Amino acid sequence: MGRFIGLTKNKGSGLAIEDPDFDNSGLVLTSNGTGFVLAGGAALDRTVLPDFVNSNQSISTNLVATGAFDNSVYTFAWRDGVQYGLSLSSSGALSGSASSMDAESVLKFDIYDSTYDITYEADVTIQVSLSNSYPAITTSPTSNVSLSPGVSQTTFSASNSPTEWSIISAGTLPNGTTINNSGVLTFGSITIGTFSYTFTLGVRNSSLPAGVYSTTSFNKSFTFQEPIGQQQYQGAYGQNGGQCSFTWVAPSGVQKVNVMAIGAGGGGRYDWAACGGHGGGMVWANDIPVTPGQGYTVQVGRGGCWNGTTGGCSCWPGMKACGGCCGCYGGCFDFGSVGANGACCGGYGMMAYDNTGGGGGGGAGYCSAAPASSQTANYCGCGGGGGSATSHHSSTFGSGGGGGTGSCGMCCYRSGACGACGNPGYSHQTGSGGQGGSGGTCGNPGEPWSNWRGNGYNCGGTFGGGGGSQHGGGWGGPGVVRIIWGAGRNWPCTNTHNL
Amino acid sequence: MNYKSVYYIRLDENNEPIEGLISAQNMFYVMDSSWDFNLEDCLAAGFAPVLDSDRDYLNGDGDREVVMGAMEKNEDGSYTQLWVDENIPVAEKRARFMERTRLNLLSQSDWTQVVDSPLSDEEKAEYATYRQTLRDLPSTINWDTIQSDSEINWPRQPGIETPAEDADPTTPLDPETGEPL
Repeated sequence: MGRFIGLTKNKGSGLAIEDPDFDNSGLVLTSNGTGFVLAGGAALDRTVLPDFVNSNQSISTNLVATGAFDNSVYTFAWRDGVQYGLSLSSSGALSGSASSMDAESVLKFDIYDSTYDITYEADVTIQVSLSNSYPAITTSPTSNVSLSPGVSQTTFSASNSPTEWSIISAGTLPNGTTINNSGVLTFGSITIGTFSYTFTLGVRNSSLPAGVYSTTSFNKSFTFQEPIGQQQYQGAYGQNGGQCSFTWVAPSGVQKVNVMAIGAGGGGRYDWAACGGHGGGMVWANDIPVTPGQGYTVQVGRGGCWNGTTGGCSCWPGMKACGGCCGCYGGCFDFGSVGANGACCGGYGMMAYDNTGGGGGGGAGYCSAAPASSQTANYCGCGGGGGSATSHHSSTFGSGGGGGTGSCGMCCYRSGACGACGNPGYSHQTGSGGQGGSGGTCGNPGEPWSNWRGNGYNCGGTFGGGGGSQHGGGWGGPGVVRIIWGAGRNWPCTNTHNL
Repeated sequence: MNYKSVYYIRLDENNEPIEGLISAQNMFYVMDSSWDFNLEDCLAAGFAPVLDSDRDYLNGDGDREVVMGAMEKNEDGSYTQLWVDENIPVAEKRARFMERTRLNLLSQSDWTQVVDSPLSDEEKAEYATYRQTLRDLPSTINWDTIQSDSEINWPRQPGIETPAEDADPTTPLDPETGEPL
């Protein structure tokens, strides 16, 4: 059998259904002009006020009432006059210092629904530590936070050695956001930019009852800066063409990258009057979208061998810088042209003859192989100079390897020389590989490399320099794939060095 | 373990390796730009270090090739890269050790056999013998056992009477003095 609930006149014009067992049952019958309707009573959102506060803390919050009609409009007032020196506006702005509050303070509010002319009563009890022993969050609830590139964590501070932190209300924080017991808030996911999040954090220690937190509400602005980094994959000398394959995993927060690739140089030939190896091609593209955590296949060309093998291509998904052809009598003539599948080819090696060249310079060529999703395409590149030959029977004694191209930018795109030429070859003292390109604004020249095999090898410089020809025949310079990310960085010239 | 000198591999849900090798520098960024991680951290993040994965080796020069083999799983969850050191095929060995040099020497002596060569008949015959020796040279080699081009007994060019003990017979000679350059 149900209990009897009386109908009585509430404050204002509404009629309340009164349960004699409870005060303020909150169920209201009110006239809407044609009859009576039942409404839930308004209630004060308790979460906006702390349960526990130190006396040296201030209170600043906005009272929120909910629960009556959808079109209810509330105002707030003290029920028994100003209390504890706190200030309360009719809109619910409550502020003041807790220093004048009692150990157990009861704030008595009247909540007035102006739409229906109903007044509700709300009492809020707050425990105040007069000795200031409760933990309290000291981080400003309103200041902006600018996070370092790629960092998705920020640390909150609190007094009195808190032992436990909690997200009391996640509010608008990204899904998956957590806080550990050191106050480190880790965002579940981030997007580059500035965002405001509303949330409430709690902190506690043994001075508070179990499960009770000292809470602070935040409406805080966070700026997530773009991560900065770089990654370089390069082939090794002393290989027989082909490719090395790697997986590049996009780090957290990295959403776009700029990639440059240089194919490996072709090997020189051990034949009379043969060309040096051709230079590897170059390609680059900017603003290629990537997904953090996803793996991307990177292939790096290995230099062609002295026995005349082709340098390996260097590739990023959707783009390809071809390796240089081997030195030969005729060979391929992709100099400055677009090769098969849009690949970019480097300079070709020259037949060694008096004062003429050897290995081709790396990186010259025309690029049309940027990934479709990137923001860059169709740039010309320029690489190291070709190797040269001695004026003394150069066709017999061989030529230097071609200069490679530095991996940190395109020097000749602006000013300054491209990679230096290789040295002349001469008998056992064959020329070393040409010095790599200067790398433009940053400088990261390729390393010449030679003579480790005893009787001298005229190898191409890094990266992508063609091997020298004739006696000893040189290995092609290895290829490279360089990935950079971060704001204000792009190929061919802008902040492409290590940051 | 030096975590900066190995490659890494991503693991699938069954802790089996997938994708290609990941460089240590890449792992630095993946692990929130920090080297302060250990094996357990790697495994928890879904990656495993691959021991002996950064090896410097030479290919294209000798009679053997070093290539990457399979990966072997270790008890602690890491992997070890295995390497295969294998003989190259005989045809490749012959090309590397002999053919380019042999054809080069033949090319350089072509002029000795033309009708208007300035050489005497005797000198021409000496060069003809020299060239035939070059042509026959491949059949004198045991290609299954040869390991280096230094094992090849190259014929001397006519006119070179007392080569230096350590001279390389394939070294170009100064046309005026006949001495190695």
